Amino acid sequence: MSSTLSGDASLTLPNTLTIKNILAVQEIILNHLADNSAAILDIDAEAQVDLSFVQLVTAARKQAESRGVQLLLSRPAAGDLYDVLKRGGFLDEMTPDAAHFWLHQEKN
Amino acid sequence: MSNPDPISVFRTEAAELLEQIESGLLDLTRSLDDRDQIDAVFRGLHTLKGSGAMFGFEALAAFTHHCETAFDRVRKGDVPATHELVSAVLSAQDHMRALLETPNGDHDAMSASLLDNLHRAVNGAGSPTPAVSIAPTAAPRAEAAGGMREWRIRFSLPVNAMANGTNPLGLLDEMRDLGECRIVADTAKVPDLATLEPRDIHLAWDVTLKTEKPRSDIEDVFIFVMDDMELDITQIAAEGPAPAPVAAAIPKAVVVTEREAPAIQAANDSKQAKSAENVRVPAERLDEMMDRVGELVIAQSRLTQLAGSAADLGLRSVSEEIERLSGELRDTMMVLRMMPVASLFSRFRRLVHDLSRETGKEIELVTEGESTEVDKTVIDRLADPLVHLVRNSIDHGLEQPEERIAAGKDPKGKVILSAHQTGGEVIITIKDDGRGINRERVRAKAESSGLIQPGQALSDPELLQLIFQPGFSTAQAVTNLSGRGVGMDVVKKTVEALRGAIDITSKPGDGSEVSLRIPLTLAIIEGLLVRVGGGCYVIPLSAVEECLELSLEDDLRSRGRSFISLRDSLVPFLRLRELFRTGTQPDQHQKVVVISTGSERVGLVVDQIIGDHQTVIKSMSKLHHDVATFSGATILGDGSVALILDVTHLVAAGQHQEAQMRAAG
Repeated sequence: MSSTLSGDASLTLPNTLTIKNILAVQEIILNHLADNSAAILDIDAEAQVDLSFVQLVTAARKQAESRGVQLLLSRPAAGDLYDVLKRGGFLDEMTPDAAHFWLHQEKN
Repeated sequence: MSNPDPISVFRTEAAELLEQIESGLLDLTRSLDDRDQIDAVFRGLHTLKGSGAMFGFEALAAFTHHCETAFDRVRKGDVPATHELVSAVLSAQDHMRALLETPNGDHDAMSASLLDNLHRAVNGAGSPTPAVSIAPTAAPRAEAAGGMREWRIRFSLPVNAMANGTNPLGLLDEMRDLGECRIVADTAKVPDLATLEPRDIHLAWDVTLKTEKPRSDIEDVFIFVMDDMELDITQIAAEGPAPAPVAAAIPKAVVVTEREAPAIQAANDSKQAKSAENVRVPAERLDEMMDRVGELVIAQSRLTQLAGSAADLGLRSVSEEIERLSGELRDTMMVLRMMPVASLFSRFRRLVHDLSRETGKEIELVTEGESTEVDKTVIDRLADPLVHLVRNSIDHGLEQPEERIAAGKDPKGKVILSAHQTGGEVIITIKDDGRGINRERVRAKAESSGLIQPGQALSDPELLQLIFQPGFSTAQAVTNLSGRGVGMDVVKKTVEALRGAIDITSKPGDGSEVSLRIPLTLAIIEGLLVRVGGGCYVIPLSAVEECLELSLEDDLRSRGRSFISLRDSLVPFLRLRELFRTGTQPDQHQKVVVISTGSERVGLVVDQIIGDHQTVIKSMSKLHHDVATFSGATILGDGSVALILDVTHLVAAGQHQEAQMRAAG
């Protein structure tokens, strides 16, 4: 997927993606989206994630969609991120778009 | 004068609120169904939360909110008050102090742990542990246990829930624990990234739950976030023998907002009206004022001296008027600084409560004379020594219940904390009915530490005084009054720094009693000014019993014995001229000033009694700190310095002299 995007689209996020630094993470993504037509979020499998980050990415997806910007994850959700998605009720009744975004599942 | 910092004013008020909350919680431990106390604790928590948020102590406000919610549930009869719940809030209340003192500290882990503890206490409140339902009229739970039901639960949390420390994933996990659960997150209200406040929560959830648990269990999941959240619980279908009552089946949107019951409002109004009669003044302003009054007293003393030597009647009249006024001003100032020892004693209720739980000992704390007043500085400085003494009494003095029963005692140990005033002193005693001090072990410890020679003869008071020696109170100390951390020597030093004295008595098997004799005030005292040789000295007037003339005949007769006969009893006396080595000849008509501490008396032979003197106490320099005979100094009207005699030390010296005389036959 990412092969269709330029290398500049990649955005490596910090290893802590929780409410403690969520303002900083928001700023990082906003700055990136302001300068780029695409963003591939690189989230380490070991990253510490809480619900505020999932909500933030959800908001980023809405913004990307409304502005025609492509937003992707560099790899399917894993580790903490997957756990938060599961416990937070994001995996039940998941839309195809959401499944494609979070888990890289092919859309039928 | 600068305006007080609103933050420090809030801190002071919050500290008082926390004390009130603690007091209410401790009262509740004795009577879990005391509705007034429950309301009082709730109001205290509510006020603390509100004012904390107002002054920017957000972590404190958020944390307190959880405790307030728990007590609101108790108040409404939703959950019973239990000892576990009260203990959880007591622990939480300690954490609130930390949040108040260091609002920017890293408190997250502790907050989470305490809230978890609180949550368990609330959820476990229906368990078989002794509990008291607070609202006897509260409606019973609508549902009976048993029978699988399916519920649809839709909810969104207060927008600041995450920022306030709530973990929504934890709530969802709790729902899963109730039964078969399908949870779907609703992201419809999440704004786009540019407008998102990422610490707020805009997610909602739609949950389908199959469970045998009653509706109340579902509501309990949200107990700490009920305020301002939206919660819709609808029963979809019921199976099994117990059909859900109509009330439970009706879809109910629970939107809880801040409400103030009229009764609470009335109570708050009354409290505000009462507080309006008082003015809060920072202690340092009182200290400044006290210093100025002290300087005024010294200046007035000089004026009196000048007027006395002048023939101007008008000047004398004005001088006497100023003397009267400055005396009244001094007395008023003293009263302003006085506080009842109740404020000191109240903190021991918590200490005893905690130690009782820690040690498994049943303890009754009795306080007496709580209205006795002492200088604020005394109260501040005595807090730590008293904590140490009370802790020692409980830790080491009181026996375990079974040991007490075997000794024919009440299984509940007693610690009595009392205060009373005698003359210019306040006597504070800490008494327990424990096992008493084991003299053999004290002696063994003292001998092994090199404090005394093996087999050295010591009177019982001397033996007990060894406890106050530095190095005696270690963790391995074996007396029942030995300490942990701060030793008894530090306690003694603190008391002596207040110009006080400490004494200890103990009866094996019956308990121990530690008495602290503390002067009422530390700033200005009434003194008796005397001359010894070429120097002037002040004897605290509160210790003076009477003054006698020492005739030449008595003086000669008493040589070598130093006793005077006073109404059929012999009183030892000390010749201050010799003690201070003035190198002067005695006056023709010497005087004896009889001073006392408690029942012990001693006479002080002086050359001349000059008269009473308002004595502004100045500390001795560090160089003279070890001079035990003097407790301070003062400046006289002519600018010269007079030393203030340490009555306790002199009485002890006199008594020692008497003991030696008696021993010599």
